[in-house]
Amino acid sequence: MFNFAFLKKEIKEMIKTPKLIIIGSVFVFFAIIGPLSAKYMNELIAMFATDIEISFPDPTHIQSWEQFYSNITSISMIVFLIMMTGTVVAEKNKGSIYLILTKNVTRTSLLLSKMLAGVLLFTSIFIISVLISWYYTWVLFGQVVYEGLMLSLFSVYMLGIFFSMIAIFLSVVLKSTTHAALLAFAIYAVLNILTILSSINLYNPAGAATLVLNQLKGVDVTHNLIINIIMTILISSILAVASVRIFKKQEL
Amino acid sequence: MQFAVKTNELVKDFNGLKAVNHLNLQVPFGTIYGFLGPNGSGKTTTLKMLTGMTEPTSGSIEIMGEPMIFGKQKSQEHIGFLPDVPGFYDWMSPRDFLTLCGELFHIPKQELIIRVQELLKIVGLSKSVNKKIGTFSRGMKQRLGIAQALINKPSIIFLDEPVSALDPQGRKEVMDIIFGLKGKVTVFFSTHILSDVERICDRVIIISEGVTVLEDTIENIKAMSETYKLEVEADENAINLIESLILDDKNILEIQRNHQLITLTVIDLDYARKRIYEILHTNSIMVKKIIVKEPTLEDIYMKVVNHNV
Amino acid sequence: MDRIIELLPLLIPLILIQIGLAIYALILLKRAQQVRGNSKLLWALVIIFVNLFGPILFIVLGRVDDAVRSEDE
Repeated sequence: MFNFAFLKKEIKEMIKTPKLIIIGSVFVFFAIIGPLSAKYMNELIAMFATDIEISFPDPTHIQSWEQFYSNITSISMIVFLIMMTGTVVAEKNKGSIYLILTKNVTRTSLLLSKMLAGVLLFTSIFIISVLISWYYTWVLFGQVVYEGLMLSLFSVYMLGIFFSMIAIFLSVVLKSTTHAALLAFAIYAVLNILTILSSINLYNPAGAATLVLNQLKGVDVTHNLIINIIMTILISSILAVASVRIFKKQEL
Repeated sequence: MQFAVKTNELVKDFNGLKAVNHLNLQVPFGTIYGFLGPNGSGKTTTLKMLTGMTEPTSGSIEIMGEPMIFGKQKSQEHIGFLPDVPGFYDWMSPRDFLTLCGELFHIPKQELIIRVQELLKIVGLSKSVNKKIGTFSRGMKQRLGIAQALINKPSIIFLDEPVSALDPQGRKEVMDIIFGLKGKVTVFFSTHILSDVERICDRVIIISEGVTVLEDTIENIKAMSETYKLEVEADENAINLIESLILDDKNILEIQRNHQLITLTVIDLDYARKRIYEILHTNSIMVKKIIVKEPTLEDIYMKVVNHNV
Repeated sequence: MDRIIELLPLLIPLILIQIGLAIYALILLKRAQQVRGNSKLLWALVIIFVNLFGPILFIVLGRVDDAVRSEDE
């Protein structure tokens, strides 16, 4: 039976520890800076580079979303990933896991609570980020929507869910918070380097970041995005099941 | 007799190293049971198996007559556990933490509020209810650890080295709390501090390298000792005289002299007593005190553990 | 100048986030009994002068709590 008390604890913990503040600040900060930099970057560059004549086409809402996607899939995502990697391993090292598991909580229930809390956290900050970016884009450019926006947002959302599962998996498997964070970063880096191979982007969860940018440029990648989303869901599910299986048999 | 905990040929093998080697435990219901052994003798591993944290390599465990199967959380209803260094959530208050523990057992809200209050009182944390656990001393954490182990009114609690990390003051407080549980729950606790065991335990088991070397009641274990000690205290001249008179006595194994104190190690205690009284009487010696020293658990512990090695 | 005043409502949230996070980190710094590197002053400078990531660096890496200590042992 699923134990809601532990999920409640997980959510309270995010609020009472600096986790939510850090992740929230970074996401909101970059959601705001995206549209602003799209609008004024050209002017700023022109201001500092007075000696050369540069002319850019006037930025539009497309540039604004471009900024949004590149920020949320890079710096924001890395911060989220690293903040989430400690979730299980820290409880093991601290010893709190023994107190919890000798109560009426199954290991599966404990881990599902952790996953659900991570997913809820990402979902809320993602929605807030999108709304902020949406508002700023509308204020600055007077136009927001473009062809494929919703699908693109969803694929980036799934990328976040995928990284939540990576964080949980590493947290279950590894013995130190530092190792989990470092390996998580390494996985992030490798998957992003692999996006150079554009032919496999549709199978690479991190490929979503590249695909949505192509969509912005007017290339119709709907088909590829859908395959990418399905792959991401599949890999995330495998990670989730593997985490539960390993955790159930783990020596604590 | 009903056993709170029973293990049958319990083995834990870490890559060929047998941390626990065919351990057969039988902990009678309602006792305070001491689990003794030097560091690295397999105490923590055993406790982790008994609480479902680690899977036994072979053998079986019964908690309150029900088989304990690794991965099934069935026995958790009956048990409470305090690991050697309990980890709490620093951002919580003790009330928050105990409430969480109670909720994990689905204890109804009203009942839980009362229960949490009671437990905080038992472990003497009533004054610190709203402080953050992060600011607690080790002793306070250990006491909170006992409270959380009792939240579900368990039939048996397992305590892993509950006092070894504490200062004398904290140690006494925690031992008093444990002693106060006598008769209410079965307490199974591991330790290497023998004076504590002697004071509060009904029965003890001593293990060494994963194997049982001794299991019995404290009285029986003490009775196993083959020698006794008789201590006489008097002024120095009297002690000198006593020493000279018994120096050649074949029945006295050992004489220890320390100013106004003389300690005799003997096999036949009654003989030694008669002999001393005789000497005192015939020489009209006034003594300060005569004590028959009971063998301490420590003597026996050292003996059995070292024999085994 | 007019441009900046015009932009101000949009920029205020950004500034608030940075200042808020810095104040939060400084409070944690003040309360901390021990910090990594043992220099509270250095951390204070990092928090104040490194935008956004200064406070985060301190909150994540600078604080030494029980869990971190036991892991280091």
